[in-house]
Amino acid sequence: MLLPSYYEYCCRVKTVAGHEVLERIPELLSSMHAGKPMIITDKGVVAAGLMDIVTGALADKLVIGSIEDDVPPDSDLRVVNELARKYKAKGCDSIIAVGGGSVLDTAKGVNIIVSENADDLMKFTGAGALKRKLKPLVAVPTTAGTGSEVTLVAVIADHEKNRKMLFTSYFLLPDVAVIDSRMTMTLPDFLTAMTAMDALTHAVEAYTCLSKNPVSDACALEAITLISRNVLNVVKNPTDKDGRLALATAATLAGMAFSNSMVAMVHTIGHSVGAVCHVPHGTCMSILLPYGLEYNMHKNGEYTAELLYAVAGEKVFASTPKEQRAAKTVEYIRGMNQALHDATGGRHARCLREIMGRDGKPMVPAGTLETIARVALGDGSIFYNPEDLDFDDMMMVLTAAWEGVKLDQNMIKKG
Amino acid sequence: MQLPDHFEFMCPVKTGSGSQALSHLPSDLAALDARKPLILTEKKNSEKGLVKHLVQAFKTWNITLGVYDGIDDGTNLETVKELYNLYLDRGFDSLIVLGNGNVMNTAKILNIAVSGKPEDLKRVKEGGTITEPLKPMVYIPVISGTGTETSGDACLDGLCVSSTFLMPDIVTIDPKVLLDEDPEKVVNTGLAALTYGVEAYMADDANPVTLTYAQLAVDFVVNNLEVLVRESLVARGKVKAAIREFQAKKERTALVNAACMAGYVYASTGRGLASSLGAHVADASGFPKGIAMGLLLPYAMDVSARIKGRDLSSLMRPMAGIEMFCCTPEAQRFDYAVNRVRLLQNELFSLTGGRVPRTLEDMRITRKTLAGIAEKTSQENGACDSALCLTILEHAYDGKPVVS
Amino acid sequence: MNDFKEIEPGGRPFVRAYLEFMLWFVGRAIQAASKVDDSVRREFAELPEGFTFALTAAPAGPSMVVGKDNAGKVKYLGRSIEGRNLNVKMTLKSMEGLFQLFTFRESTPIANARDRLFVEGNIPEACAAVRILDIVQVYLLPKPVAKLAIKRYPIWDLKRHSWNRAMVNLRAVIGF
Ligand SMILES: [Fe+2]
Repeated sequence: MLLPSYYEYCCRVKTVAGHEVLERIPELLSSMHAGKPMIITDKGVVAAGLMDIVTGALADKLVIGSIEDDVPPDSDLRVVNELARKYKAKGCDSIIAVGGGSVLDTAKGVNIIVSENADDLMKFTGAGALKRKLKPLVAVPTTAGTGSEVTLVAVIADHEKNRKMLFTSYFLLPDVAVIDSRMTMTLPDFLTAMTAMDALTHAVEAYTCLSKNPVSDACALEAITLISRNVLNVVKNPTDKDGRLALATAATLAGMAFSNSMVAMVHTIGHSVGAVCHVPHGTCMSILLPYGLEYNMHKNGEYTAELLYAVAGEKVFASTPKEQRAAKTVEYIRGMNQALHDATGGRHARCLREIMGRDGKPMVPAGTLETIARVALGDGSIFYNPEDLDFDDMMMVLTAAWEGVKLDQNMIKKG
Repeated sequence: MQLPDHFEFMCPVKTGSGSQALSHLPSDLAALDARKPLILTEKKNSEKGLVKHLVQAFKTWNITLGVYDGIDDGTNLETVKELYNLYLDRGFDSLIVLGNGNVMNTAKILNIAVSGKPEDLKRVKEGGTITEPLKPMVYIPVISGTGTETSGDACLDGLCVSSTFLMPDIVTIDPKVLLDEDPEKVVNTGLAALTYGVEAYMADDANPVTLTYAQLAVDFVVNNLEVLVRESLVARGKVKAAIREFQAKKERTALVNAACMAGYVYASTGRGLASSLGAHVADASGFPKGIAMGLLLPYAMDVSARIKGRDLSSLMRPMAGIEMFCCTPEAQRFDYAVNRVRLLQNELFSLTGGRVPRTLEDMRITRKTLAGIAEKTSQENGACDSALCLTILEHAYDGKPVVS
Repeated sequence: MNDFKEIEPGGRPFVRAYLEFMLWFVGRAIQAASKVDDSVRREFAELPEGFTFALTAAPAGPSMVVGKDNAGKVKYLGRSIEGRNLNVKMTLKSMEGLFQLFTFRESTPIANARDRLFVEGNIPEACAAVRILDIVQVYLLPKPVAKLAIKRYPIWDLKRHSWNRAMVNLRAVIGF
């Protein structure tokens, strides 16, 4: 594996994974001198019946301080402050976050307030603002995608002042990530497909971007292998327990990879498609991933080529001539999208114009592409992309992804 | 790979490795709220100028550094007591370990004492556990080591403790402090790391999370150790030596990465067949542990794959690289892996003029001691019944692969 | 404890002096480029009134501050970040990191990829600041060096490469 001239890697989170591992939580908390957690989650998790599994697993082995299931999809400062107040009022001593990105961000925000006894969260936004370990935080992901159970950032919106606060610190890493296959067992097929593609994108971008390093490379390779061998099976057989665990483990591995190597232009553009048109993140990722690889091919083609073994298996890798492997990797990822499109009855979109809203109207009208490109120029992940992107480059990528056609290699400016 | 029904892994360490790594240290320490570190090292490291490199990294930071360079093989709990007083009197708040084995052991034990009450050491001595995170600790490896520096194990003066809280917070691998070293010591480091890495593949709960670090440890040893030893034995003129040194730095960095990662893996998986047996073989033969473990490794691999039926074919990938791995039929991959380890040992034997042994016979231990070693090991490690242990030892005595 | 000593690591006065000079020059070059170069002017036009940007090294500089006054004029604001309300602050984790950057041994994107710096403040504005720095580097550095410093060397017309380049350098030196 390539050893860059300098790299850093850190993932302090203890990973506990398996088919029945929620039961480990009381013991894990008690080893951190805690026994009265506040459980933070959202209505969707409760409706899917996952909360019952969690409380059943904790049973009488600890006192649940409080169950808060009101976290909205775009959580904000008000919710964080409210939960922190309840945490103190009910005498909790730790947090269990059950859910996806928004739940975890909220839990991290609450943890800063209750651990630092703070009244103003804003004081903790700068680099190095947190200096101490916070209260024990256990993360239980309910989708196999975001990887936020192993990331060290939290974004909390302040809707009143119309701003977003960004927190970055190793102290924000959860203490434990509990990956239990029961938590993703009931995820519908199209959500399974799209969250898996989000995880795949994390791993692929981590492996091919500027700050790749050997540890995240190893995480990424394992993640990509697990996803490409399992995703279609699980979408077709949703109760495949081992497949579910494989995807969930892969998402965590991909999270470890990208939280250390960062992500690149697929996220740069994907974030702004999401922000401008409210398209689910995973959908943007699966559509844009092949374009990110094509656009950077002249810079990182050798890494993309290596990924062929992980996405397509050893036989395909060995029987593909060296110079064709990178292109073949992209072809395989497009093939995955097509297969998922077919397996979900068309709900897994293959290009931007195919994305339909609940009302049956296209969510990304061609007219929005310029706005998307402009917003993308202000996304921080652009720093980690191997090749530069200006407005025209963004438009070229977006137009191709909208139509669903390959990028024309001759149109890419190579400096 | 089929995932186990339940697996766990944790590595609480932040690793920074490569050029200018030391320059990251002041800001990393500041992030842990540490302002007055005490550096622990050996005389020879300050004499070689390694401390100077470290001090250089703290320029402009307005931090007073404490340096204690008196750690050696004679360091004992009495020394720890003196260091304890020094640490508290001078108001230190963190430890920086520049060195290997014994320096790290001293630092870990000292950190237990300075982090809580001095009685903690006594309590731990009597079998108590560590329950709280300790004070910040940085580990700066030099080229030779035991492969367990970054793990949670500490042993000093008969006091042995194990806890994840003993793992360092930060590991800083800087090529500046990785100087040329006696080949035998380099080999010892490499083979220890290789053994812990491979043993993670053989563990019952082998899983993709643990294997991330394990595969890198295997990769970096197999692809750097031999060339590092071979080239260090070549005599060169000044210019050529300088050119070689540039490349050697990279290889040493990779090897030390392997050693650190092996420690992370070992902290989660513990000892396997080869390392358990190796510890006793080392005691019996007087050879360093890493060399003894490495010697037994291929036989333990044989037993794991051919007798216990473990699929170890994926071990070939980190050794041979993706290209070779993919074009080798699956049924041949394990053979490649185990032969690669044997080949490495034979090469090292030849390069060092026999100082690195290939067989137990080379180690000059007698055949009749083997049963005793097997018995002792199986009492400690349930995974190895004494018949199996003996099989490994007997085959390793003759250098004869174990076949099913 | 004969083997114990305390050490004051001290400073790096020569490196600091060199960096102070380089930062001063780059700061003035940004000010100059905002008058001479259309892209830089456009980037600054999008940024809010009173925008300030700083490049610095931990723990205590050296630093450079550039900003836009209320009339929309871009100014090099000196070498102190003390007491300033910065919109975007780019901090190298050590003076050595900044030194690597300004001796062209490591480019900004690579330093960033290697965790040698961190950016605080509004992210879209930080992206704009990096684009401005990229253009200024193309003006100040000979092509082979600039190629190492940025991701993609731009294709510019002759006027931008010759006349504008001369003007940016000249204005940076005399400061108008
Ligand atoms: Fe994502």
